[in-house]
This record gives sequence, structure tokens and C-alpha cells, in this order.
Amino acid sequence: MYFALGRMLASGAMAVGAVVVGIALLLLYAGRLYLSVNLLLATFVVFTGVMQILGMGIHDTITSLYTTVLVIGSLLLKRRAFIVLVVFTLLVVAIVVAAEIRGFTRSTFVSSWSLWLDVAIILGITAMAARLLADSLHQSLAHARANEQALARQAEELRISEARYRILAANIPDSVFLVYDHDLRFVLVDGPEVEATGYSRAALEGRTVYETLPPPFVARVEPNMRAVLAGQTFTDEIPFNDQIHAYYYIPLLDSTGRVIYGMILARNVTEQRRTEAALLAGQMHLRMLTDSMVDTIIQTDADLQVVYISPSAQRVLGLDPAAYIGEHVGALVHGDDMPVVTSAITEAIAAGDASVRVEHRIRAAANASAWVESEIRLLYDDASRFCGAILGSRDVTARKQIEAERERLIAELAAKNAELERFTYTVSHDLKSPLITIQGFLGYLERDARAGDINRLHSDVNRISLAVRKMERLLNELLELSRVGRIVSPPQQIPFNTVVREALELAAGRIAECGAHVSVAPELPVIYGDRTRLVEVVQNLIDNAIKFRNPDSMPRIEIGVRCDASGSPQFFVRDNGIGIEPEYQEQIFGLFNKLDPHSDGTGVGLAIAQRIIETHGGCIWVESGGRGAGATFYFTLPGKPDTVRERGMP
Amino acid sequence: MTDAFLVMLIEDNDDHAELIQRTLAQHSVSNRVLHVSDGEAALDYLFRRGHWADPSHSPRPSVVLLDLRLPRIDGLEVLKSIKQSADLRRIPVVVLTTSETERDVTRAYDNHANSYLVKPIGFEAFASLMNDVGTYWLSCNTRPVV
Repeated sequence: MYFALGRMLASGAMAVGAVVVGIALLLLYAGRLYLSVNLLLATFVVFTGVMQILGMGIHDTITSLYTTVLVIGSLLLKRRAFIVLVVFTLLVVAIVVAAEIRGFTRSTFVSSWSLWLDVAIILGITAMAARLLADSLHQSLAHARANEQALARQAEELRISEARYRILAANIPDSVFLVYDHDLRFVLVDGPEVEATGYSRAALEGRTVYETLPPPFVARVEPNMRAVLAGQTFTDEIPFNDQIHAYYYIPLLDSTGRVIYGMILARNVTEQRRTEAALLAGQMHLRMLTDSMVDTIIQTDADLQVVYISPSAQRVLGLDPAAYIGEHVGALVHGDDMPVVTSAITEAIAAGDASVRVEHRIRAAANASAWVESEIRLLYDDASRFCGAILGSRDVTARKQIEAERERLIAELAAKNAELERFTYTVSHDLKSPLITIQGFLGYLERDARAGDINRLHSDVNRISLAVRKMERLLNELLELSRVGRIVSPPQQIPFNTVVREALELAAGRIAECGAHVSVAPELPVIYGDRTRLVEVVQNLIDNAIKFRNPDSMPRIEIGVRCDASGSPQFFVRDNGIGIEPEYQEQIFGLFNKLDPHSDGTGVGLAIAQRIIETHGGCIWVESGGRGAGATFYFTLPGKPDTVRERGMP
Repeated sequence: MTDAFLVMLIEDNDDHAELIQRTLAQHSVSNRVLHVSDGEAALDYLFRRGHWADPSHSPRPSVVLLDLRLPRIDGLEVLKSIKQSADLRRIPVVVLTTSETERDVTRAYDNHANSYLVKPIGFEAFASLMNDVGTYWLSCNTRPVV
């Protein structure tokens, strides 16, 4: 009955086993390996144990089967499950052995306590060996799993790295990012500029340059790409279509330092280059402008130290601009005008003005200076503090010279006008006087005749004839005076002694008449001028000396030269005559001016002398201690004028 | 009119002085003419300087006939000096000159000349003018007390 129950159980167990195997397969399929194995083992052990107990008996096969189960268990089970399995197996074996000893089961072999021991030892050793094996297998598995994880991580990292490259590429504006291998095959292409070049990622990735790009371009880039693969890092600029790209070539190395890929980061720099070119052109233009302008630009800092001076300074003022950088602006501005410039700047700063205009002199080449008109722009920082100035200085030397010349001409014209007015006035007055005399006494002639007053008739006729002669003389001298401005002979170098000698010859008669003693200094300088006119001057002065001689003493005339403080010669004609009071010393040079109305002459002689000297650029004056003290007439002659007048100011 | 007339003639041209004196002498009213030939001498007399320091020798003139163009100190200066002096400014000053220029006329009146006469060319005109001067200034005109 016991046996039959076992069979019945066995056949039932077959059906249950089939179901369990099916479930285990399903579990396995679902990836639940451990659950599936546990299920199978549990089923197997339960069934085997029940069957043993129910009388199937113990034998070697079953022992080895248990061993196998333990081995598999040790391989597959976790430590705790395995211990449960071992304990359960030992328990089952103990029950079976006890059953066989007590005769519950059919005896197949002689049982003994040594058998217990054998079985226990075999099972124990097997279990231990199996466990050691299992541990080592587990370790190997753990290693393999770790490797697998590392690989997965690497793959992930690579993926992230590529993604990073792509993100990088996508975010560098106007750029193309290319990675290629040793076949020059693109493995990665990205970047916003890809589309702009007329290509796409898909069209490039996985293909070689030869397959994708135009041959002339390939010819241009291929050496570069190869150089990168050879390990070089460099940049290059290559036009593509009508665009310019800057290429950054970078080799990508593996951990051993071998180049695995070449990388190119190409940026479209067309706009940048165009801007640069435009900027450069602008700079050139600006430079050309500052170069060619007539103004000089000087920029200073707050301390008025020159920080910039335009190249035009070289051309306009003949100054080397570099020599003045870092110098105080006072090195450029004329010393006398520096206070004007600084005070103008100080006042403008105090008033918060943006600019101020000053006329001043500025240093020019060869120790000269030029007049400039400076528009000074004042620079202020954010805190409204003065931080520098820009002087735009225009050369106005020519204008200044013209202004000075104009002033001079106006003054000259005014003087001429005044002289002309005086001249007409005196002429009309002095020419009218004899006419009144003539007409007046003509009227009396008739009365004298009728009255038979012969004496008065003679006297009146004499007055008339004197007036006529005076008028004639006046007219002659006026004519002479009008000629004085005109050159008689061209200016020349003449020893002053010659001039004096000729004048003395002309005045010889009058000198002899009054018995005057004339002494002339021996070594007189050479002068430059109109010989005839200068002889006339000396002659006039000699005549004057004779005319106003002192009747009580012998006339002495001395002719010579003295030097003034600067060493210029002053010629003189000195007499011991009646002298002139200081208050009349200027009047005597006036036309028709006579201090003594009864003196000989018309009052034109000194006016003529003055005119001649002034035409020569000199001046004439008289010095006298007063009445009775004699007089000395001095005059200067500037000598030969300089041929070139410097444009600079003193 | 108990006082004798004194005409002071300031004239550098001796011929003109002679003509003036002759024509004035013809005038019915008896008078004396004092002739000086430059401005300095004229002012010396009027301000009683030097030679003329004694007032009994330098009586005040009834009228001054003044030429403008004079040596040393010219007529205009003489006129100014007379008219700026409290003692002299009431003496009638008749400018008698060859100049017809407006500037001279203006300046003479600006300096308070009492009359401005231009010497005419021609005997008749000259004589007639001097006659009129004599009549007007020596007869018609009331003299101030100087």
C-alpha cells in the first residue's frame, strides 16, 4: 500500500513537474533567472525527498543526484538559500538513513554507522568544494559584470562626449565642426554653418572628403587634414564659395597618445574680415586725412602732457611728432604765449566750457615759431573732472603776416594821407601868400606913381619881385620834394666819405662865402642807397648849418659817425650855430616850417632831407642844447636789407 | 571912445603885415597897430612876459588880427591860449589867414574865434576887406572892458 501510494504520488508528481517546468520557463523568459532556478530546485528536492521517504530507498545514484543538486545550488543560489538547501538535504538524508536502519524501507545494502559517516563526509567535502568553486565563479562573474559596466560607462561617456561636441558645434555661431578619420572620412559633422555651405550633416557624415567636396577645395585642405592626423595643431584661413572660414585644426588623441581622429573647427569669419577691412580702410582714411590736413592735432592728458600729435605736424610745422610725446605742451607752445593758453584752459575748465579758442605761437622747425589759432577741446571724465585737452591748431602765420602787413600799409597810407593833407594845406597857404603880396602891392604901385612917391614905388616893386622869386623857388622846391620818393640812381654800396666829399663840392661856394671850417671824420662806413639823394641830404644839412650859423663866431661844421647801443652807425652833421629849443626840434622838419620868418629859404630843405632818409628806411632827428648851443643833425641808414625775410616770429 | 584903439596884428609875412597896416591906416578912425611876427612873441606880449612884463608897456589890444600859420607857436595855439585865459578871453580875435580849409574854420570857431576872414587875392578886394574890418571892429563893434 505504501508502495502504491508512492507510485500514485510519482505519477501526480510528473504532472505537477510539467506545470512547474512550464512556469520556470516562463519565468526564465521574463528574465527571472533566480526565481526560475529556485522554483525548479525546490520542486526537485521536495519531490525527491518525499519519494525517498515513501520507500524508493537510498542508493548511489541518488547520492550523486543530491551532489549534483548541491553543486547546481551552490552555483546558482545565494549564500542563504544554499545553506537552507544543504541543511534540508542533510535532514532528508538523515531521515532516509534512519528509515533504512529501522527497516521502514527496503534494504538495498548493508547499512552501518560508518556509512553515515562516509555519506556525511562526502557530502560535506563536496559541499565545501562546490562552495569554493561557486565563490570563484561568482568572483569571475562579478569581474565580468564590472567590465561590462565599465564598457557601458565608456560607451555612455563617448555618447556624452559626442553629444557635447555636437552641442559645442551647434552653439559656436557661424561654425562647422568636423571630425574625420585616417581615410579623411567624416565621422562627425555639425554646426550652424553646415547648411550655409550648401551641405548637410547627412551628406557628409560617413563619407570621405573626396566623395563630398569639390576637388579644388580638397586640394587646398587635404594637406592640412593630413598634417592634423600627423599630430599638428594649427590654424588656417580658406575661402569657400564667397565666404572666408578660419580653420582650427586639432588632432584627437587616444589614451596612448595616438591620433585617432582629426578635428576641424571652421568658423565663418567673412563678416569679421570685411569689418576689419572696412575698419582698416577707415583707419587709413582717417590717417590720410590727419596726414593731409593743414591743422595740427595735439592731445594732452590732464597734466597737459602730450599723448598724441598728428603727423601733419611734420609737414606743417616741420616737427617730429614722436619727439613731443610725453612732453609738456609747453614744449610746443611759445613760452611767451603759454600763460595765455593755460589761463584760457583754466578759465574754460572753471566755467565748464567744452572748448576755447586761443591764438598763440607754436614751435616750428629751425628755432622758428608759427602763429596758430587753436580750438582747444576740453575733455572731462564721467565725474566731470578735466582729463585732457585736444588742440586743433591751424597755422595762421600767413594771415598774421598779412594782418601785420595790412596794419602797416594802413598806417603808411594814413601817414601819407596826413602828409598829403598837410602838403596841400601848406602849399595852398604858402603859394597863396606871395600872390596876395604881389596883387596887394601892384595896387599900391599905381597910387605910389600917382602920388609921385618914388621911394615907396621902389620898395613896393622890390616886394613884388621878391614875392615872385619866392614863389618860383617854392614851386621848384615842391617839384624837388615830389621827386624825392623816386629813385634817381639805383641803390649801391658807397663809402660815406665819398657822399660827404660830393656834398662839400656842391656847397663849396657857400662854405667859402661864410668862411666856415669843415672837418670830416676819416674812416666813415660804407653805406647802401641812392647816391644822388644821399648827397642831397648831406648838402641840405651843410646848407642848414651855414644858414643858421651864429653871426658872432666862426662857423664850424663837423661831419662824422657814432654808434648807438646796438652798434648801428648814426651819421651826424654838427654845427656851432644858433641852435634850436627842444620844443621846436620836431617842427623844423615840417614842410614850409620856419622858426624864423625872416630867415633865408622856404622851409623845404629839411623836409626833403627827412623824406630821403625815410625812403631809405632810416630816420633823422636833431639834438641841440637850445638857443645858441649849436645843433647836431643825426640820421641812420639801415644798410643793405636782408634778402630773405623769415616766416617765423621773433 | 576915449581910449586909443590898439590893433594887435600877429602875422609872419612882412609883406602882408605891411599891406594890412597900410589899408587900416587909411581908415578914418585913428588907431595904432602892433605887429608881432610869431606866436611866441604874441603870447609874450599878451601874457606880459619878459620884455613885456610891465603892463604900462603892454596895453590890452582892442582887437587881435591873427594869422593861423605862424612860426614857433602856430595861430591856433595862440587862439587857444587867449580864449583859455580869464584875463584875455574877452578880447575879440579875428582870424585873418590865407587858408580856406573847412578844418581850419571849424577849429578856429571851436576855439572861440570871434571872426574868420580869408585874405583875398587882389588889391581891391584886400583893401575893401580891411576897410570893412576897420569899420566893423573899430567903429561898429562895442568893445568889452578888458
